[in-house]
Amino acid sequence: MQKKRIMPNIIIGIAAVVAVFPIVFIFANSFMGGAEIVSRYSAEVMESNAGDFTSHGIHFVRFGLLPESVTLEQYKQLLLESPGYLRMFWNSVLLVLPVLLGQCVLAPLAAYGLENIQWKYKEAIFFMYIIVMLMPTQILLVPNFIVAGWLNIRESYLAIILPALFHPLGVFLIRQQLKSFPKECMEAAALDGAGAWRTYWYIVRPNLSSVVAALVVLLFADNWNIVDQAVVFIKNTYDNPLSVYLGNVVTGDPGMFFAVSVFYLIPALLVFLLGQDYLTEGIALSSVKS
Amino acid sequence: MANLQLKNMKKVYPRGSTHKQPEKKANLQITDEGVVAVQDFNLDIADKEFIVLVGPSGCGKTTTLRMVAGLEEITAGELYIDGKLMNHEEPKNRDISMVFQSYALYPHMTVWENIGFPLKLRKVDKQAIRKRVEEVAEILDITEYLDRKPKELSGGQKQRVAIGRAIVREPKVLLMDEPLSNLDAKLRNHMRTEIIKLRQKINTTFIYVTHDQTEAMTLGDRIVIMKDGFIQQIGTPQEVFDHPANLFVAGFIGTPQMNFFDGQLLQEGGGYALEVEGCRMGLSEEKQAGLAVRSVPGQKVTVGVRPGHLGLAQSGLAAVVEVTEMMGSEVHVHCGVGGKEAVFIVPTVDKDGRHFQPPAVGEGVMLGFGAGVCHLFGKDGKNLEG
Repeated sequence: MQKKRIMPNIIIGIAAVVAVFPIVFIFANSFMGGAEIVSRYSAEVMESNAGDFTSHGIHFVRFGLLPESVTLEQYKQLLLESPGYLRMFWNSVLLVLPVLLGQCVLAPLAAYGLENIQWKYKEAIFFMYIIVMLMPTQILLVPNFIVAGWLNIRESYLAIILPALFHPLGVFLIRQQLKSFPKECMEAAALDGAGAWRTYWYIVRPNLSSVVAALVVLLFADNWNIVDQAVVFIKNTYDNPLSVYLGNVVTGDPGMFFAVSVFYLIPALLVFLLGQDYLTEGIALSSVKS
Repeated sequence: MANLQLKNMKKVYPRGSTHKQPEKKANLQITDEGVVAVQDFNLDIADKEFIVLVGPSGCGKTTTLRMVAGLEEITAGELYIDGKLMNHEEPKNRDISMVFQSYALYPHMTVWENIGFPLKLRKVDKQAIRKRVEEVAEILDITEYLDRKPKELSGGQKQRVAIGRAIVREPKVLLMDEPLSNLDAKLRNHMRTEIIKLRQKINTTFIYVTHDQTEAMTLGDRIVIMKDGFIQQIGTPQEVFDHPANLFVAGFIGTPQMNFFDGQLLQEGGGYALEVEGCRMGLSEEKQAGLAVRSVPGQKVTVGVRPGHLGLAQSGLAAVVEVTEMMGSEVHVHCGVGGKEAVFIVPTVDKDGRHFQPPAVGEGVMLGFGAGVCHLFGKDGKNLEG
């Protein structure tokens, strides 16, 4: 028994270190001064940034988690002297928040309609939902671009928000959970005097909190990190979300890179930490049929 | 407080239907329309009557109940409540409530909220809801659990809450779908008594579904016995026990099950006699008259005898004891009779305090029964006496 547990624990431990390392690395390096970052991570190995390790006469940069001198210079510049970053952070919020709020309202309703109300073509429509869900974002960009043109919303956040509002992932997850929700509860509500809407509002909705919270975590990760949609639809650099601009920082302002990355990571980490229990519970519930 | 009329009601689950289908459909009729779960269902239920639908799994009893509730569409036939046709009324407009087998309590609500929910939906004044919930909680002895959530309750407590939610708005008809089947034997007996008491406290019409014939016999004013979607017999518990309409009812009602023997009904000298396993037996005058009125000819019959009416005799059916079961106040003796199994019941102690010594396993005995206690069934399984 004891032997069996050692190997999985070692593997999980290694995986955890690999997963956590980039975060620790970014946090630690965010307390470096801009000059130290530029010199330490420049592509050219010089006397100032050369490490002790050499191989076949090739020198490598001095790699380390700890800065030579700890400073809040990056953060000071980010928060007080470079309003562009704050603006792009706010752009990200403006893109993500409506999607999360909208999905929390629309996805449970759609899932309830597909699972609990009898109508003719619901299975065919749900099948199309799954097809759309399985398609990569890049494939959907072309039709989205065309429709956005029809609606005259190209170069507007709506061109990104509207398709994301109706992304089928939420409907799929919640419908799977509704399959395990006792039908008798809904029938009891019908006999108690509730119609379809009041059954949803009073009986079904309050029991979906776990799966909706899980959905928020997944959708946040998905939408906070959007790149392709923003590149296609947003032309003005200062209207871009931080996810798109992050790549430019490396070339444009490398000294700021780690602080901006931390700034970008914090909301995602907070959402995950707050929602991780719901995430596992919600996914588990969605996979149990009865 | 309502009378109901169920006229020629029929339920067919269409082929490929996404609706819930009956669990077992091996014996149900399958037509071009689909699986016929219930057919030719005719029943008049009087105001405040307690009707029990009983039968094995898949016989259509729950489907019938759900049609009355409005949870299943009625394929054909009519349902009247207080003379008003209800076929196409929504469940909420039928003034019916239901207790489900799985309790169906709303998991996120407290007991208080669960019971008060039907009144809240009817926009009853908050004070009135409070008063009514407290009254119901008092009746069901659950006042101390009002602030708990369903997951914090035992099975019996959940069942009381489910009943509380069903009776709080004083429905015209109270439907109960196997409400005790999830409880252990002791609690089931206790709750059965509670339901009898409850019935005395509330004025309503009950329709109760069960597969347990003991529940049916103890609770029902009348019992409707169903099999394969058809009604087999409707009658008071005593009627269906004393005069089963066919072999199925005879075998289904009564514990242990009725014994069946192959026999020959003989018509001789203007009267009838019976031959069972080569043993000739007389029939009571009442039975003779019953057969004569229907002009039943002599024929091969199945003879049914309740275990309590069969006993050790000086002469009769030759049997070999196979198993004896000590039940406390009585002993069930299982015997082999001509290749078939028969059971008879003997009290362990007689009225004079003498202990009965059951025959040993393997011992040969003779069994007999009185002239008036047997039931005669024809080739088609129907009771020859009607």
